[in-house]
Amino acid sequence: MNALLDAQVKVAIGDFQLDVSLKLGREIGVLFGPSGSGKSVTLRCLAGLRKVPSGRITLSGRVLLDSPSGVCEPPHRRKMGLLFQDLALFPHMTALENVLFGCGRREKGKAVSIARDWLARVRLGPLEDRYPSQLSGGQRQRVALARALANEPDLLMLDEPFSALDGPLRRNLRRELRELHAETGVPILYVTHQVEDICALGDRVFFIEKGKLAGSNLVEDLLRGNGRVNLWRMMGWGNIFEGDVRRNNEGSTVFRWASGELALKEATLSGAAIAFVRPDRIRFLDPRLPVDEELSKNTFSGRVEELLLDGGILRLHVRSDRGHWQIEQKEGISPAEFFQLEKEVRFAVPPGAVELIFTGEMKEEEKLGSSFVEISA
Amino acid sequence: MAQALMISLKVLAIDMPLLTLLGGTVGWLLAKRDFRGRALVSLLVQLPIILPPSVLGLYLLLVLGRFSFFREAGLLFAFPAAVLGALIPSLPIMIQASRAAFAGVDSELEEAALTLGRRPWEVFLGVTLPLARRTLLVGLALSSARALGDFGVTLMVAGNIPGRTQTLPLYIYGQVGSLNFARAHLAALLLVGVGIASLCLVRMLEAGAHERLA
Repeated sequence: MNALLDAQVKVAIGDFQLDVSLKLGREIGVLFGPSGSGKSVTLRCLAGLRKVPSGRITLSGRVLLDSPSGVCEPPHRRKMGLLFQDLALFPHMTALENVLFGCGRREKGKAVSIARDWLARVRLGPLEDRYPSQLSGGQRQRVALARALANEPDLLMLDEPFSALDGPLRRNLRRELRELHAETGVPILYVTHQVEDICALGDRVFFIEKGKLAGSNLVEDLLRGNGRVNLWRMMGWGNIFEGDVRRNNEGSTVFRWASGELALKEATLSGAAIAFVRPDRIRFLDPRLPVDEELSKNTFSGRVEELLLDGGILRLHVRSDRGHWQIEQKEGISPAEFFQLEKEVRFAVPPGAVELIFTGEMKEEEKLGSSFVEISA
Repeated sequence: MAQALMISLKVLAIDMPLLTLLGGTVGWLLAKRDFRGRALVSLLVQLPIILPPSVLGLYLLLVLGRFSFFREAGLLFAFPAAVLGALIPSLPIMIQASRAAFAGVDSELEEAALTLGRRPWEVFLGVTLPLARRTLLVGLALSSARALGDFGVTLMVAGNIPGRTQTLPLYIYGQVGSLNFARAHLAALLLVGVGIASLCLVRMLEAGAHERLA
């Protein structure tokens, strides 16, 4: 990765210490972490809106901050666009005037044409004379995006701008953001606490916890299971079990943990391991239909404890005597009456969906081929 | 009366820009800048509101009389003293209004403007000032009305010299003293009219502000 942004910032805010290092290429980086972990403060430090006593920031070869030599560029010279959570559209300006404000000190006629062009790109051309109060939530987001990009920033930062919007709109805006990123090539740093955003938007994810960078990973790797276990844990997403891989009495390889057992497809190793099952790989079983033989060994049942429809994805928390499960399914795949609070549901974990990370000593097994990852201790 | 009215208008013509500049700057500093002693400054600038005009006039008299520079400049009991006498008690009203006006402008808007590559003064002129404008105008209307109607402080530092320092309120005082009530009434009606017009303007500005940002 050719880093366009290379930043190390260290700042103390009362008892809170922020100490973060980031490297970002021409890609979309997602800053992910729980509330209060320092995500937004990081963006403010990068943008120059908060004083950073110790650190160094370079962007596209320009040194924006270098505390030892006393370099500290003011926000207006950093060329970093920042989309605030509340968007910060100027209420006394129309959509066009807002975008025009982002066009910098160009000649008036040229600036107007650039602003109009940006509004057209976010499909808001006909609404250029409207004030922000006359626009819908999604339209306001687009104006803010157009305004930030019209300034031709070297880095665009977004602080949970889509968090207040409903599922379909959020999805559309995410798609548009990706398209704009592909068109302009501007690196993007996106703050979120939603796992969905990581999966749908990010190329790279930075995990921030208690003001520290806890890790960074390519999203692709994370989704493939090559990431570290603590990253999965930090996301608070997915089913994680600690146990060991062994052969059972029938001679097949299983993963066994304190309260259950999962049949594995095949495994070459045995020993202490952590198993990870993505919620969207778990399949619900229709009680009226026979169960596929492959799935029959990994069948569980439990009560629905929590049910959430989020952006077309049905998220369920199911409590079974074999532990607590997070399960996700696209809306509409199973009949709605399937999923009701406190109702018993049956589900199965396909053996191929169990991702293993060996944490202790491993023993070679006779059979070949399985999906597992080694963890470097 | 025409003479007194002219003096009052001249006082106002000088005080209004001073109120805008001084009151606006102090209000902006109190609203947007964190500095040592801000609480003390905030308290001190409000003092003229609660002090009796005679007390305020006395201190102003002492300050202007004590320093040779002021003495030699001939400020006391002259037109400049009338300007100052009207300015001091009305300044806190403008400071208070401008402080509220600038504090009411969301800092995030100013920060967003900075990240869009605009210099701080451009942000002030393009974002802060337009958004604070209505409340600033309300403050200016109220403080100007207060300056126009000042009696006590002006009397203490500028005296009641017809043609030089006699403003409309002092003219009324003089006419009542010589039992010339008809003239006093006329001048009083003029001031009442200005007062009502100021309040109407304030109401209009406030209503407009709510409508625009709704």
